[in-house]
Amino acid sequence: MRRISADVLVIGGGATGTGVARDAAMRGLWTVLLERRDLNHGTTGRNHGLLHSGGRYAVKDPVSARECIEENRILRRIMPHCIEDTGGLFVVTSSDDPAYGDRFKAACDACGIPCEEITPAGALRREPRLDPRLRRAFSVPDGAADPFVATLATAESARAHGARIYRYHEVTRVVLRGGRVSGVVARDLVNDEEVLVEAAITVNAAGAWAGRIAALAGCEVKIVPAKGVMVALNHRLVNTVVNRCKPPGDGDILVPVGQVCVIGTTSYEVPDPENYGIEAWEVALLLDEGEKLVPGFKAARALRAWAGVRPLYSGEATAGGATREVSRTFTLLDHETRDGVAGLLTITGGKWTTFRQMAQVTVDAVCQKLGVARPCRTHLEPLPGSERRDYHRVGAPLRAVEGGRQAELVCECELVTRDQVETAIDAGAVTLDDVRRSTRLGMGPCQAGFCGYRAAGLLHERRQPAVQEANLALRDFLQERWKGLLPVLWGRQLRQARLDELIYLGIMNAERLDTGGRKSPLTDFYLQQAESSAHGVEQPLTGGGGQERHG
Amino acid sequence: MASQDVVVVGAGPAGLAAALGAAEAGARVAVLAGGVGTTHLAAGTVDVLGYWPPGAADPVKRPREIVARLVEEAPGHPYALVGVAGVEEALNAFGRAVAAQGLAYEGSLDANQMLPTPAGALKPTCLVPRAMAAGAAVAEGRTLIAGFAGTQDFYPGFVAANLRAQGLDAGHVWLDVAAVRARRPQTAVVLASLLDDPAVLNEVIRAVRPHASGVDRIGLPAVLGFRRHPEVVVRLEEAVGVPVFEVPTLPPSVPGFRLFEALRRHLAARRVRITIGAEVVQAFADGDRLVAVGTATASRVQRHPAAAFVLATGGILGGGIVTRPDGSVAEVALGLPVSAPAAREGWLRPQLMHPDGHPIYRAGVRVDGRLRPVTGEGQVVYGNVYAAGAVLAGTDLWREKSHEGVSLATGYRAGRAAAGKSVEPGSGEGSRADLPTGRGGHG
Ligand SMILES: Cc1cc2nc3c(=O)[nH]c(=O)nc-3n(C[C@H](O)[C@H](O)[C@H](O)COP(=O)(O)OP(=O)(O)OC[C@H]3O[C@@H](n4cnc5c(N)ncnc54)[C@H](O)[C@@H]3O)c2cc1C
Repeated sequence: MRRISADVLVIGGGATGTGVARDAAMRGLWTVLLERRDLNHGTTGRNHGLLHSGGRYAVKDPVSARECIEENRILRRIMPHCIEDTGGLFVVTSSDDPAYGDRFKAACDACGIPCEEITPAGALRREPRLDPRLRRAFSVPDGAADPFVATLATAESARAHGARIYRYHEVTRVVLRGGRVSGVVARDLVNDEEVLVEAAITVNAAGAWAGRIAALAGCEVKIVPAKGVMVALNHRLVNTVVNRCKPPGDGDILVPVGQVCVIGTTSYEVPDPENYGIEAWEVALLLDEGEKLVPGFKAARALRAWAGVRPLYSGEATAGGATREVSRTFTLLDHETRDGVAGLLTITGGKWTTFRQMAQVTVDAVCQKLGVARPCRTHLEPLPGSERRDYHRVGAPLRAVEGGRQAELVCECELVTRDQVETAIDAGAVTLDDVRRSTRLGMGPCQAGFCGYRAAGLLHERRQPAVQEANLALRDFLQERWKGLLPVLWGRQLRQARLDELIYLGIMNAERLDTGGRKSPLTDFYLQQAESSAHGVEQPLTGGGGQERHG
Repeated sequence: MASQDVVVVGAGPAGLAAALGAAEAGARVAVLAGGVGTTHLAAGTVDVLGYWPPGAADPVKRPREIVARLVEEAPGHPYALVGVAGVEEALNAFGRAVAAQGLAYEGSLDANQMLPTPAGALKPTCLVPRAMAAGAAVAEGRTLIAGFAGTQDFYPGFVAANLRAQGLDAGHVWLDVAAVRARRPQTAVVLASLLDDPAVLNEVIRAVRPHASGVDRIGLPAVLGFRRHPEVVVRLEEAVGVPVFEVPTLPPSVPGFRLFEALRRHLAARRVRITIGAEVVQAFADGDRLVAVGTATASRVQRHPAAAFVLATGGILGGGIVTRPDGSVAEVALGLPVSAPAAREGWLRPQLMHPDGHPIYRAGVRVDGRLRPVTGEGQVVYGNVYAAGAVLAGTDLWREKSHEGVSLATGYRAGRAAAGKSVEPGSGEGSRADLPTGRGGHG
């Protein structure tokens, strides 16, 4: 068995885990991170992309609200390139209670969140598509974040400080020695071998999976997996983050992200953080709610639906399915004092916006246990990529492509260049989905119709693998996109999907490319998720024949 | 607008074939279309039937035999309505029309040809543009696949590796052509126009020639000229000394542009007017007859009266069939009844590449034996309206690789019927004698 040792072992390569790895490495600790799939595979890569001002929590959860505004200021400083400074509006629509606006404003003031009421006319000047019947509007410093880039930059910084990050390493066993966690056994999914990782302290940052990791060490941690659904529309219908000014509910935030905008979310308990579908009613609900903010919303083209699972920590189980009441403030569990299992910490709950603070609190505890007295510096040192000290601007990729030498575009929708794709491939992408997470490949309207083939061609070109592997990469990627298309396929997006069939089936006969029976670590996952979302073509229609069953 | 004998709605392969059928029968024909059709996207080959059943692992070898079987096996399939003879008649007419415009297609219903695709799979196809024909011989000897460095829509190494994975002898090369590198953005159409330029073609020849020795043929992306295409292919083959063939690319499709252009020219010579940008939005009926269709203009709906009409607006991709979030499916131009899965739950399968395909893609208009749209109860809706191509229910064209065959066969038949040529359901009336056969037969 391969052996790796470290001072600190971090489990989970989302925002929290990479944040912990960076902080630990910056304090001089010998750090290893294990992620079972790609970085950002979990909730971090499936969230709404909102840099919270705290406004959303101000009324009900002022502790969270304060954490958000503090971190909002810090993240703007250390990773401006991951943030689009859109600002945010809280809007009292004609279906909301105008009096809530006063409570909202007072709560923001109390939490130190800059909040200013603007006139309905002012709000409409800023966002002309909003429902003109809106009654009140408040401006707050929300922003649009790119959690993908943020995690990659955090990981890069961690590596620069000596951390070792292993992707596609799934923790399968926790090694206990005399009541103490001395490390873990992980499966390297790419090379199909076991790895023993020994560490003085293990940090469980496995998000919605944290309960499972804790269970491997014999500790019970109740994480309520709360699924949240989002739908992307093919326009930036707004340029500001728009929140409904009412008690938090379903489908009440609209975030402009890149070339699209995203409505979300819902919150519903699911039994399994990995295996859940997207129901037709969830999509319908989000589109209906969007219509209340922006008339005509439902006439825009829905590109894709997906869900993330909130790692909500609760002391005890909640009653029923409603999960919005559970606190979103994070929790650090020391299993030594809690369960008598030394050497293991679990960091859970929280938000993307607060990941840095979560990491800081965690590494403070690690340092204390290791007897190291070095202060946190993650709030001081900017992340790689932020050298220009400027926010991300939505036109920047276009300017980069059009300015000077015109780049070779692999993905026209998201303006992804050949260089970017090759860099991602060379960085060890295992699937084309990994390339997507670091470049936005295939995330626009055509959902990989054109770029899927190109990326597979480039993968083959760069790596010269057995061609069956390139074929599998292509098929996996198309299936991965398909699972998110299924819930929104009608009208123009179904037409687009049929164009993709023309390309892959009509032109390429790609359904018959040989994959040699291979599977990637994610092949089954893509199919399972689609199965949970395909609203019940229960009975497979019997194969092939020309007989039409429907009438 | 002056009354026509036949108005064809749609300018994809089915609409063009309908116009051809009607014009050959002596009718005055006008074609109205919102936009161009799938010709500009698809490979430019004439696929008649590649797989049957659609999810079968092995390709259809002799389309004639299987198409004949469909009459019995799949009465709802468009081929069952036109029969083998109807398919053959349409392919003949198509072959004559494009050949007359200098764009030769080769092959016959007797044998499918296996052509390399841009992914390196082999795809069974029936009629092949002359410029792709040498690709059907990849099973013999050595094939070199060449691509242009600096372009995004064709990966020769990927193609060759997949050919090798199928036991074929294939290699690849990237050609570095300065004139190509200099041009951005490079869709296939841009590249094809570039290669029309003799100076660029010479550069390409200089780049290819050193790789031609020891190979039996060279495959290149389908960008070998646009307006001067036949000349470009001849020059290239002469200069490199081995047969050259085109491999389709990502859309837009240069071979498809050529095909559309050839048919458009041929129809224009027969006084068929094709109006693109004329979207039919309304039907004017008088009892069980359609008297006119209406197109949207800036100020009003313009009426186009005719004695008979052919609906060839395409399926979900072409825009003839629309689908809505409430699960309803509609035919847009004339508001005809549609056959479709009852609810959205039944539209799609979890597996994208499921061999049986997605039920929604078989949705469309059902027709009687004379290709006239019928209601759910089998009642003919309008006595003088015929439907053809992807708007028809009952087949998944991309899975069974029958797109052009179904479009041409039903289109041609519908056009003739609309022009008043009576046809027996399920039969053809053409002779087999003039079917293009063999390689180079229509050079
Ligand atoms: C629908 C939704 C929308 C949200 N929107 C926002 C928002 O707009 N703004 C905001 O601030 N916050 C938002 N959040 C919250 C935020 O996304 C999460 O709090 C945050 O991403 C959690 O990060 P994490 O690193 O803790 O978890 P994750 O990102 O889930 O990371 C955990 C990682 O652990 C890995 N792992 C699991 N098991 C193992 C194992 N056995 N071995 C190795 N690795 C393993 C997983 O693969 C995963 O990558 C949203 C959450 C949801 C669900």
